[in-house]
Amino acid sequence: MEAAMDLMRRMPPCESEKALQSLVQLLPHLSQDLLSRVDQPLQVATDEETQKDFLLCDYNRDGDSHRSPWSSLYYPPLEDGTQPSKDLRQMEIEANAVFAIYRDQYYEGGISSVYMWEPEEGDGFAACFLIKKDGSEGADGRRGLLQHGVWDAIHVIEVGEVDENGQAHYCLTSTVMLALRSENKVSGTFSMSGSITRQMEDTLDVTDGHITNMGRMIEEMESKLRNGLDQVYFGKTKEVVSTLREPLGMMSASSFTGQSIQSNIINDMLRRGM
Amino acid sequence: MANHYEDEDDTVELDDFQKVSLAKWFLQNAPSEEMQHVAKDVREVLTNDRLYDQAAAEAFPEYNLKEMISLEMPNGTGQHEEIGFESASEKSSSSFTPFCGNGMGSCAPAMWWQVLVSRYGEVDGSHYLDPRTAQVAAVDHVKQICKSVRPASDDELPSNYVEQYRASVDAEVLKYVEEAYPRGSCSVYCTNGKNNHGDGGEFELTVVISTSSFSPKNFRGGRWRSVWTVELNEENESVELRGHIHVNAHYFEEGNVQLATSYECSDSTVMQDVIETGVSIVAVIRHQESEYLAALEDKYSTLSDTTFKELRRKLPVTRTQFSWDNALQLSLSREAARQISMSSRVQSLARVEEV
Repeated sequence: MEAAMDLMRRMPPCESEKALQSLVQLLPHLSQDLLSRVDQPLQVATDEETQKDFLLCDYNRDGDSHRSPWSSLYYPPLEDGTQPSKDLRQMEIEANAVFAIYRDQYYEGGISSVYMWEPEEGDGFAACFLIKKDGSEGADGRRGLLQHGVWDAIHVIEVGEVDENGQAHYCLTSTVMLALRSENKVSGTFSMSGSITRQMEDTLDVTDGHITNMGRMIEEMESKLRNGLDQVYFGKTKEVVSTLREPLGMMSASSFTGQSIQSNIINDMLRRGM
Repeated sequence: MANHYEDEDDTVELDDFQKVSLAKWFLQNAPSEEMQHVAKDVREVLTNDRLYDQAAAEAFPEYNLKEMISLEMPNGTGQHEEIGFESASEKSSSSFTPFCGNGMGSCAPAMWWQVLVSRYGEVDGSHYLDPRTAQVAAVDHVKQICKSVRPASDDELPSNYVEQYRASVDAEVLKYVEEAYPRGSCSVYCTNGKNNHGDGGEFELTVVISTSSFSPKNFRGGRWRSVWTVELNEENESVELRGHIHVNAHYFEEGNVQLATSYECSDSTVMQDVIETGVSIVAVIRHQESEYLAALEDKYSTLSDTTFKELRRKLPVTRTQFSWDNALQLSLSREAARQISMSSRVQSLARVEEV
């Protein structure tokens, strides 16, 4: 299983769907684990009943069908598909409504979905908040700046039982997947894609309610990730390029030009007996 | 899409051919310098050494050729340490001390002992020409090492006339690569018209530059590959160049981020005497590659600015953080309003149908 996870960290992210499919085929006995542990770019389906789009993931899947957060119906239709408890469903409805507003304010478009469930072991509950934003020109990109760019966010929170102090423990694992592509004559084809994952936990008062607590954690996490992505996607890969090829004619102390000039000067000085 | 994830009871068992195909796919997509890690994982996932060996035998050569890896050639006496798993991945970051002598003049740079594995110098599936030292290297693709070398035969080498130009370009490229590419490797091959004896006509040289870096403790690695096809026409005194550059980068701390770029360009210069031609060809290459690097830097900053604007704002238009509890109240009333508007729409639609 570890070998499979390591492979997922090395395969090109734009091929992650094929990589996961292949692993599931080669290791069928691990398919449940693989599907739940490996994040994939989110797929979209339409809820006919409410005419709204929703996002697909392992948490709203039963067999080959997926449950819509708007109507709680399965597509393709499924008899006796897993449903959350009545209370959980109520919270799920509210969370979806609020999260849609949050999404609109930060993403100015895009699709969101929230799913909740009770874990098999232990008390409390778990929820996943999903967002997909396609900022490509021709899709949801308002300013027409990006040729192709898609952001997928998956936030999974485990919430513990409320204790005697009126507090609950929240454990958030967030993954953001980004895929960018740009093509022009001056710089050829440029494509960058991948994902980063971060975790965060906190114990909070439940006076404002679970949704508010979870929402605030996710908001904070997303802001951190948005800044972190700049460093990781652009900063780190740019660093790699600079280790491959030196910009020539630059007189920095560490560049080859700089170093050779330094050693020439030193040799010169030694020769003149300074 | 979801249809592919069958329940465990219904899983169709893959046959050997399919398993080998999948294994090959993983191997072929290994990021630069990470082949040995990927190979180890694939072997474990396959749980069948026989199938793994088959997949490796087919995938490794293709991968090595695509990546244009460079291997250390054993010295003249044939003494050579087998490079094991660990050092294969650290090879690019370890320092190499060349030894002097061997009739090549004073201490030659490390690149004299490297053979580049590429289709331009392929003699057959496991033998590759090193034009610089006029030797043919026998390569074990799966172990990624050079087993032995032998001198190249006359018909594997270009004519003296072509060789003059090849060597001149090679000498200039070596200087350029030493300056611009830390730990880089390069080679110049004659890929057409090698029997040209200087009586007119054209011949073609191919300049290959390949460099990689890998730092597991910094969770990053990558490769730069350039291939320049140079057509020399003595009658027109023209030199036409076509360049193809590929850059790959991989960062994998708490995630997996990969960059893949590709760039094509063409340029030309005048054919002069042997030395001048070598100098001007490499001057063109150097210029174009520097321009590309600058364009890449530019692209980085443009994308960095535009990406986030199009995808997610730093803060909502209100310039304050989202008010979750207000939104909750708002949404409940919004939901109620929506239900009302939806039902009135349904009613008006029904009325339209009635007409």
